Amino acid sequence: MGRRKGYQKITEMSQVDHKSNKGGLMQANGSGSLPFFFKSLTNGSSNSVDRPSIDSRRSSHRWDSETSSPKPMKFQDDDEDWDDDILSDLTIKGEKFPPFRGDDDTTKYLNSIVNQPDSISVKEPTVELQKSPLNKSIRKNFKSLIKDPLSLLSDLDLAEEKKIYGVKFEKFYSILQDEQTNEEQELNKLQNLSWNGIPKRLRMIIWQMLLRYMPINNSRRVAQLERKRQEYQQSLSEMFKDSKKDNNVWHQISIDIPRTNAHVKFFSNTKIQDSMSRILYIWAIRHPASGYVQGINDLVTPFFHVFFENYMENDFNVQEDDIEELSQSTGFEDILKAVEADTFWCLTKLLDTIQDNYIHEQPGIHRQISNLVKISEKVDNALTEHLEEHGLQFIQFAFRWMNCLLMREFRLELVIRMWDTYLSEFPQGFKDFHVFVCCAFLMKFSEELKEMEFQDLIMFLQDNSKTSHWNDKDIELLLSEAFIWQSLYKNQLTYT
Amino acid sequence: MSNSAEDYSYDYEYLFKIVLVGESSVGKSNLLSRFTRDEFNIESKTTIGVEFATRTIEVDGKRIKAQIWDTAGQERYRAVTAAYYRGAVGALLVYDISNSSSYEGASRWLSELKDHADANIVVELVGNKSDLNHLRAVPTDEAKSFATEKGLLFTEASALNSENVELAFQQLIKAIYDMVSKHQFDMNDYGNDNKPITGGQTITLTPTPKDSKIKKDSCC
Repeated sequence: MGRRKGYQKITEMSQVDHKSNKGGLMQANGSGSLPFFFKSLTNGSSNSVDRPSIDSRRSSHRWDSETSSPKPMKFQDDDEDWDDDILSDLTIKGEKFPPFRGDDDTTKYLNSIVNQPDSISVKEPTVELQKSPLNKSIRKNFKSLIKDPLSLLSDLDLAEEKKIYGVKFEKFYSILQDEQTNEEQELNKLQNLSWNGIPKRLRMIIWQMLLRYMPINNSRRVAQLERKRQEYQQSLSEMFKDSKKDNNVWHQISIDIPRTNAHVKFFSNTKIQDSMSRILYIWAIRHPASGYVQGINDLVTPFFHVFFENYMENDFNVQEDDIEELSQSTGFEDILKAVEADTFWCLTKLLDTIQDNYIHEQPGIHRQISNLVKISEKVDNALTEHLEEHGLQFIQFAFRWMNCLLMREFRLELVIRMWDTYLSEFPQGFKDFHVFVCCAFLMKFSEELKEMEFQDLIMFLQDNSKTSHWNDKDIELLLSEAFIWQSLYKNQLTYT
Repeated sequence: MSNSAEDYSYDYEYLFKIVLVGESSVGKSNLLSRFTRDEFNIESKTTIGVEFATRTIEVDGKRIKAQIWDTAGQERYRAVTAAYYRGAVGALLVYDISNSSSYEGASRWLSELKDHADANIVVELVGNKSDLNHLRAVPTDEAKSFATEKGLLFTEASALNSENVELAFQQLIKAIYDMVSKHQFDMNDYGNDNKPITGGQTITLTPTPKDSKIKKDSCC
């Protein structure tokens, strides 16, 4: 009865969402065990929650092009934060570059940049390089992939991709192939499609497009990428040339990088670590209001993983395969340079949307947490009352959820899947939508939490092993639930 | 003395809130996991904000539960972590014996505690990573005399090989207990109001953030 009613409502909503295909999962799930939000929706009226009608839900549906199509986008070089003057600010109050494990490599690397300003253009292999042949894991056409990532399209095994991803792959593929429509429309289509996950082979390209880093337009793409990478290399060589560093910033980064996903071979490789350190350092120096804050190191890893994977053969597993041998082979340095520069710019784009999270007193995080409290009270008042009764404050467990974007709670593969959706909601994804994801995450454990007292509550919430069995489907269900809460309660958020 | 099974027992007479502070990367989280779970993780990630763990031990025949808040060392988190100093009756101020700047930061952490914690808080200076004796940058005597001068307890310990970890926590808890049993100040018996505590007495010096909404019977 009650259940039945709830199911119908969800089905109705699913139909509303059908346009963007977001309801599919919920429908599938609805026939099995009843997810918690069925109950909440059915019983919700007793909580005197102002539940909007289906129509008003529709109007807050971001995929309704009339109501909330993304703002028109420009693709000229609009990185306001990159001005030429900054280079003069970059040689700073530093002391000697403190010793860092990878210092030799860093120096070698930097010398190669300084001596070769146009370093992104790929060198012909020298005699020396021929001694270390191209590793079989690196894609043979890596040079053209660096130059124009979309050259990938001509190289794909379409039959194989379709076998894995079905129609979805064809849709992505046709958008990327299509040169004629305008960029805004194409981006809109990509956002819609990406919400439900992006095929692995296309992920780097799509992420960079969703972040408005890589132009969709063919005529500007190659030149733009080359220029951005050169700008990055130039700032690197400026900043590191006389070994003068902001000691405190560099020190903090150099102690955090070795403990960033250290259990994964890829991230314990010295060259990868040095590269991530440079990205973080330059970002920190260019954003003095926040500087480097612990947690930002986590945010580099999905980009690094996805971008690097783009240049590897399908059978290469970034997280499991040995990278030591690979890192000595031809092509690795070129790939790393491109990945590093692209990661820097994409990280910058992402952090631009949540910089308040990392400035003094972290007001962005406090705002997100107070929004989370507000939304959670609407969704499950009994739970929030229970937490309050036991003296548990949201900040005690949700601070990390905000500061690290739930990256501490999930395995990296799952985070990457989450980011497909967050990026399709860019620029609000990491800020507002994330709050709803946190709410959906908390609600996952509502029934268990209601049985716990203070100590068990906090121990349970901070323990990330509770998601060790999660897979893509769990993440997708979580995102769908978050989407529902967002449709219902978006107007409850405060922004100041 | 105690094992993890006891942690979940509500059978205790005192509850002490303790904070772990110190510079980034000195090993605070591993000291805590060694003490509460007998675990050490060489790949442990940076602590963001605060993390919580607990263990119950026996002192003078009394069962005392230590509720320990492990804090992030980075400057940016000071505003968040300082909120946890309130209500703490003890603090472990940790530095790394192989890293002199982590030791030099100790006086700054002391004044942090002075600003945000109760004046009666018992502080212990802990030189962690004593297994790195061959890389030692902070002489034991120097740290010891600094501790004496400031009225702090002192020990060197190693979360990696467990050396003195028990001792470090035990002597802090013992010192708090001695002070409490001498002074018996501000003992709040929350009874059933505060669910995590179903028995015994919570020792606080000032209300903790989480306690602020709970009615207290003042008894002194």
